[in-house]
Amino acid sequence: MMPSPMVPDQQTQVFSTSARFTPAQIAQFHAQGYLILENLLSSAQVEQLIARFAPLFNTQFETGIYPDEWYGRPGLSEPNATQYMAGLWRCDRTAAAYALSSEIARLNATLMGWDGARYGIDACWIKPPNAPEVSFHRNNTYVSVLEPSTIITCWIALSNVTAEAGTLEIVPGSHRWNCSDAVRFLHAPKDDYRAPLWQAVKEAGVEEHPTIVNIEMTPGSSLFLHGDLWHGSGRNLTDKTRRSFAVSSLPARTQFQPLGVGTGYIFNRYRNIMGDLSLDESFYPILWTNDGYKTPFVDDYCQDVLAP
Amino acid sequence: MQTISELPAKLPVKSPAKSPLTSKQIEQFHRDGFLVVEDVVPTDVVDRVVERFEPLFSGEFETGTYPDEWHWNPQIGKPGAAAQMTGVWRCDRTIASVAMAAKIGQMAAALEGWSGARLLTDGIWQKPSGAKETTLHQDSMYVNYHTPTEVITCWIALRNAIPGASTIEYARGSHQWKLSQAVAEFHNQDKSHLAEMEKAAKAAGVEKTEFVQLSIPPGGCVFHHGNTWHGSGKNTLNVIRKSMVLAYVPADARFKPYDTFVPGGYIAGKYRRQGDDAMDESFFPIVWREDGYRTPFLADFCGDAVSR
Repeated sequence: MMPSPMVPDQQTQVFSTSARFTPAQIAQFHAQGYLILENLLSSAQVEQLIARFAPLFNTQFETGIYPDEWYGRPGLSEPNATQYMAGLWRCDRTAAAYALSSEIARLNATLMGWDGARYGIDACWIKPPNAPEVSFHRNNTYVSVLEPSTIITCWIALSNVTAEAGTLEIVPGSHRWNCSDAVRFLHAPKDDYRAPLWQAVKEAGVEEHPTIVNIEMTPGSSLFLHGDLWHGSGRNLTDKTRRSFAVSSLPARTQFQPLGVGTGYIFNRYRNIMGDLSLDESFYPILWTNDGYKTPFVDDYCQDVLAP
Repeated sequence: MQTISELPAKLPVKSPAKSPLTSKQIEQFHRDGFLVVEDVVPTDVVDRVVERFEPLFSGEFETGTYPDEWHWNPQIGKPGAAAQMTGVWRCDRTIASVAMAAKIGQMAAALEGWSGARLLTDGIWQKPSGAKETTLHQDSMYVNYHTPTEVITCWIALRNAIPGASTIEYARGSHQWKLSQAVAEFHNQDKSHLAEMEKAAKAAGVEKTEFVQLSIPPGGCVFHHGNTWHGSGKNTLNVIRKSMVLAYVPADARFKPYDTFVPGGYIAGKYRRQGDDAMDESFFPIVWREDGYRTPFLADFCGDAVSR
């Protein structure tokens, strides 16, 4: 199957930052599987986050603790490799101020209709010129070891993200497709980076050429992604580096599936094998609940930069 | 020559007959800072471990759980660069069956005079032809957040641990020198891989360092003290050097008291619960203890391929 042309979704709307989502925004998120929120971060906040990346990728971790996932380490990787790091909150308290933001957790939970949200994953994606493609995938695939197996992501542009620069490509409405996905290494696939999408199209029995939308945003704007929405990204064909930071939340009530169920990915590392199925708040702190509870150590550990 | 009676009081009080190592071997360890023990891992087990390297570095994790560190993969890794993976026991039960070997843990405990050994972390290393040097360092630079503070490492030769092929190298007796500041980056230094060690030697008043590159047949291993300077040179031969590393702390080790994070916690610090100094056996299993205790889940998870 040939890739479908890039057709902008006529129904894509851009909203401005507000303290609360409108019912229309929430309805769009559920209908389309995504929502754009402009100016979530200020220019100064964008600069503050970007300034942390050079020391982090140079193995200078403020806390002395290493990240959960790290690809594109200088010296060991191709010069055009995407620099990816997850679990930055443990390494750097400036990054933590965003990764553990109660406001982002609240926005995530509100869109999903949860009464509370806990930390799921935080990750930066730095795509230098000619950085390769990222395979299409669904984020929920990576939380199958958890119950419920659901995650929502607030993906924040830290540079001008454009189609040419390998921005995120999404398929509106694909969060409702009945199809499977598998955990795979997402960076620089040898085959067509959209191959998993074509397989999903076939499996779900939906139209052969689904609309693929390139998300184009200015620095500081954010895209909320439903965990079942198919997305990926193309090669960076510009001479500028594309940067983004993603903050994903889980429902506050999330626990582990019984041993042997689901793919462990990062989460299973933190399972108390000799204990119960709970997700320990030391590792997955609760960041916002509608009754005001928040895991106590978080406010001692870092600032909450977006707190109202 | 130093005799047993002159060695530190922490040496094992068990009778030599029960120890897996001789008094002479223990004496040599404390004199040199390292000790080679041949024929520890059976050849067929070595072969099975080596077979796991390719799928692991390609991202095929048998258990579905990702490692703590994963540097280099075929997609975005620089050809000829060193490959390193840490926390592999959770990903692959063949690796775990060696990492959790009671016999190796018992040897580590015997050398340090501990009543038991707890696995802090494991790792696999692959250095292809042309792979760069690994800067000499002391493991205690990175592992000093627990009490009792000792750490001992077992480096297992799997393939081509020979001079010229980036085999492990030591500054003999350097465990007696003062612990230096952490070497920030040991994959990608822009200076000699011996520079930091030489600086430490000078500070210790050592005029001429005895520098040794070891030749160890597959299945043999070398234990080194946490303060012993070690690293590896460039691989100048047309072979791939492969090794496995196991780091142990005393079975009764706990985290030092910390506030919201473990400064310099590297990987282990991520697994500390807030307000709890325990080194949980889910994350740091006890592989051998003189009273016969062994972390229970290991029996079902991976068994022991070495102590058979």
